[in-house]
This record gives sequence, structure tokens and C-alpha cells, in this order.
Amino acid sequence: MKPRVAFFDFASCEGCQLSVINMENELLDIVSHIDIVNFREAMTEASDDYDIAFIEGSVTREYDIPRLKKIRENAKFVIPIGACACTGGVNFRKNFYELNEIRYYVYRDSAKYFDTFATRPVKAVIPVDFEIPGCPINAKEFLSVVKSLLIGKKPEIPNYPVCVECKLLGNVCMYDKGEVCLGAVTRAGCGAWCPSNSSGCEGCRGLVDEPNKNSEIEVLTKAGLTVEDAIQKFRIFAGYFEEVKK
Amino acid sequence: MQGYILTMDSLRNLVQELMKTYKVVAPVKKETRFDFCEIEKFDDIRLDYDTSILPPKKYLSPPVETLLRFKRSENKAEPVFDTTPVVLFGLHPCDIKGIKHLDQAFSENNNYDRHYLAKRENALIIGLECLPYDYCFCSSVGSTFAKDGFDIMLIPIGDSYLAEVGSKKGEELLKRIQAKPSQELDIKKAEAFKSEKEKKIVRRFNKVNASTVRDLMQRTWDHKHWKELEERCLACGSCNLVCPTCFCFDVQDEVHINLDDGERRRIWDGCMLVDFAKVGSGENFREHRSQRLRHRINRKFNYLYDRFNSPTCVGCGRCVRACTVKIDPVEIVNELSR
Repeated sequence: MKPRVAFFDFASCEGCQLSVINMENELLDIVSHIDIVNFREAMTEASDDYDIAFIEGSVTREYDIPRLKKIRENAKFVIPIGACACTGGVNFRKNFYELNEIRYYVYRDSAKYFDTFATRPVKAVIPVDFEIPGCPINAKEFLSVVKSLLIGKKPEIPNYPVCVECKLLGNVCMYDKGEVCLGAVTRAGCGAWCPSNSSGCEGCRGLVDEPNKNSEIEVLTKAGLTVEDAIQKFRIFAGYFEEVKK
Repeated sequence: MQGYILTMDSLRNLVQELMKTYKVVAPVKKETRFDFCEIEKFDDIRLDYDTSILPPKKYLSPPVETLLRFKRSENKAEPVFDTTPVVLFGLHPCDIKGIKHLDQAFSENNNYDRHYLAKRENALIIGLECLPYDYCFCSSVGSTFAKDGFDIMLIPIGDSYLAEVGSKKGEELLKRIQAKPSQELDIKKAEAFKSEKEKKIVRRFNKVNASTVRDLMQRTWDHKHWKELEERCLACGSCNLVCPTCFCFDVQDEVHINLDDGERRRIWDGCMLVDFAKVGSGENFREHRSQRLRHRINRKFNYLYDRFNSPTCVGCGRCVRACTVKIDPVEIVNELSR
């Protein structure tokens, strides 16, 4: 019997699920190995009987919690996909403000209709098995995780920084072009997507283990950023990490 | 130093002749930098390059290299060897020495790495004498000049080049394009270029040299400078990955979406990365950045000395160039010997 796979979304732009749907060359091969039974963005039918749950989006509302717990009960593997689900993503920025204030700043008079709490990644609510970070996820990496699960191998998410992938590609360093880049402290796996297209890394995949944040802030300030801007740069995607919270 | 004389036109001839049978790889402009790439025409080559982003070793030991292809359903695997004839053109003496180290690393003690050697045996090396740039320090590690390890070595003498012969293949090639033998004066000019090079090298070890740097390393294991570097180092691995003599790799299997075909690849790895010395139990033998940095510097100046009879650092300066916090072996050595 083919493994049954479900996709769910919480607070997100649904861009990660779109990245999955965009794999037009591989989709037919993928569905020859799995049955997709729940995928709101791609199909009408929905089932609660599944083995693997991919979850996009961060947790921002009280009633997200029972929904997540239900998914955890149903699935053998729970795999958050994308920055929002793995680390809170851009949504986590609001946690650096007074919650009520930021709610009214965003929603104005309609704020009373949006009862949200501080952004949490999925793993802060339920245990997860693996994570596929990125904003959006890298389809190639998603595919590699799916293949690993299908042949019973542990998925490999790199624990080295984006600098490694840039070097393997022979890219000119962003700092050589007078740009700033968070590649030295950001988890690789994207294939150095942004630097390869002449745009500095924004850190969307979150920090590597044991990042040297202080030294990286010095690098950023030497490249022209103020300390405040450097800290804000970290907060775009990595606010959830202890090193940045401090 | 017997040799031949190559004018710009005969150099062009030589390269065009080579392009008929070889993939020719040479330094070309890449945005703000230079890098070794396969050329389409002679004019792509930048003979005035300072250094390349990656060392030319990437054509002998590629960043990602397929070692074998397998089929799971049949339990079968076939090794992959790349025997494409390649010319590595325009290598500076430091990179020639770097390749000599790799030749040894991939064949010593009768352990032949046939994936590397298949490429190496089909490679021709044409060197190019150079002048120092902002980051290199070859004289401190004994790699200012290449005595061997090349097929042809080009030394600039005014508008022409003196082509020193390093192998039979190199000599045949020069004869095939009917290069003229060099004269006494050409050789003098080449000697003058080399002594000018020596004079221009400003980045140096202050108190040690290529042979005594090893003793310095052995004396300074507990030096406080290693701890100081802990604060600066990002442990991003860039220094490892741009190094012409780093040869550590990771091996990964990649399965096709049909879940049957697949290939085993080796990928450059680096001892500065946090997982490098981590073992199955979760124990990390070099947990701290300073430990990993001390390890890397010791690999270059101490640990491998007996095996290679010299430092394995060739002084190309790529690691300093690539480091965003400018951690510099010359500064480290000078600080340790202060």
C-alpha cells in the first residue's frame, strides 16, 4: 500500500505548498509512490487517514492548537515545511512588539476580529519528526526528503552554512560585490539560491547550530550597516533563535 | 633552465592546438574576480589574473563527484571514472605545488584513488610565473617557484614568454608548434623576473620559515591566541573549501525518483564545519571553533609535515581572501611566534 500524505496550512502565504505543486516534471513520479489524500490548495477531497503530514505556516491562534494536536495523532510523521512552520518565519517579527499594539497597527479597526497570540513554530506546540526550512522551501530538498522517507532513510538537512554551497558553486562572494549577506550563519540546503542570483542571503532557513552571531554583526557593520540594522536583519527570519532573541 | 621562446602569437597557437584535443581550462574573469573555467577561445584567458575563487584542483577533485552508479533492484553498482583529457592552463607555482600534494594524498601507501588518478593522468599542466598579490605568502611556505609538477612553465619576459619544459609531453607540444629554443638573454630575463617576484613578496612569517613553522605549532598548542580567534571565526568552512590542498570529503547517496537508480557522490567537506568531527554517539571531538581552527592550521603546518616533507599550506592566500573576518595564517603564525 502506498503511504498516504496530507498537506496542511496555518499562518502562511501558502508559497511552500505552491512550490510542491510547481514540481510539474516530478509530480507524476511522486504520486506513483504516494497517495495524496489531503491538500486544500490542490484538490477538493479531504481525508483524516494519512501517514505523513506536511505542515506549512506558523501557529498564531488558540484554535490552531487542537487542530495541530489532531494532526499529530493521525500522522506517523509530522514534517513542518517552510520558514513559518519551522521557525515562525517573518511572522515571528511581531513577537518583538507589544502584541496588542502591533495587532492594531496591522488591522486597525478590524483588530477585534483577529484574536491572535505570539507567533510559534509548529515544534513549539507538537513534537515534529523532521523539518524542511526555507522561504519558500527548495523543491529539490522537499523531493529528497520524500525519497528518503520512501526508501526508509533518514532525511539529510544540512548543518553547515550557505557559504559552503556558494563555495562549491564557485560563486563570487556577496561581500566582494559590496553587498551584505547572512550566508555564513544561515543553514544551507537552498543551493545558495539568493547569492547565486546576486542577492545576499536573508537567512530564511534559520541559523546553523552554534552560529557566531556577534562576529557576523561585526561583519555586517563593517559592510556599512548600523548595529540596529544588523540586528533587524537577523530578526527578519531568525527571531525565534535564542541567539537573536537575546 | 633550458627552454623555448613563445611570442603572444605562438602562445595563441599553442592554446588553439591544445583545444583540438583537450578541454582547456584557464583563468577567466568572473564578475569582480577571476576563476578557472573551460575556455571557448584564447582571448577568454586572463594571463594577468591575481588568484582564482577556487583552486584548479576542482578539475581533478570536483566539488561534487559521482563515484558510482547503482541499481537497487539488481543490487548492482558500476564505478564512474572521468578520463576526459584536460589542460590546466596558467597555474601559478603555488597551485602546481597544491596539485603535487593532492597527487601524493590520493596515491600514497598504495591506496590509489582511481577517481582522482583517472582525471590526473589525463591532465596536462601549463604553469605561469606570477607576481604576488595582496593576500599570498608563498615564500614563507617554500612554494615561490615550481621545480616540477608541470608539463610547461611560462615565465613572462617582456612581450614574450620563456617556456620551461617539465615533461616529455610538454616538450613534444612545444616542438609541434615549432617554438624556437630560448637564447642566453631570454634566460637572463626570466631569472630577473623571478628575482623581482621574490623581492615583491611582503607578506611573510616574521620569525619562522617553511621548516621551523612546524616546531612553532608544536610549542603553541595552548597559546591564548587560539581562544581569541574563537570570538572572530564564523566556522563557515570557506577557508577549507577554497584551499588547494584540502582534500577531505563526505560521501552521499542520491536516489532517482524512480527509487531504483541512483548514484554515490563525494562532496568537499571541511574540518571547520561543526559536524566534521561529530561521531554517531553525538560526541564532537572538536566542539569549539578555536579547536577546529587550531586543527586546520596544524594540518597545514604540522600534522602532515612528515608525510609531505613540507607544510601543506602553499601560501596562495585564498583562505584569507574568502574569510569575511580575515583570519590569516600569516597573522596567526606571527602572533604565535611573537
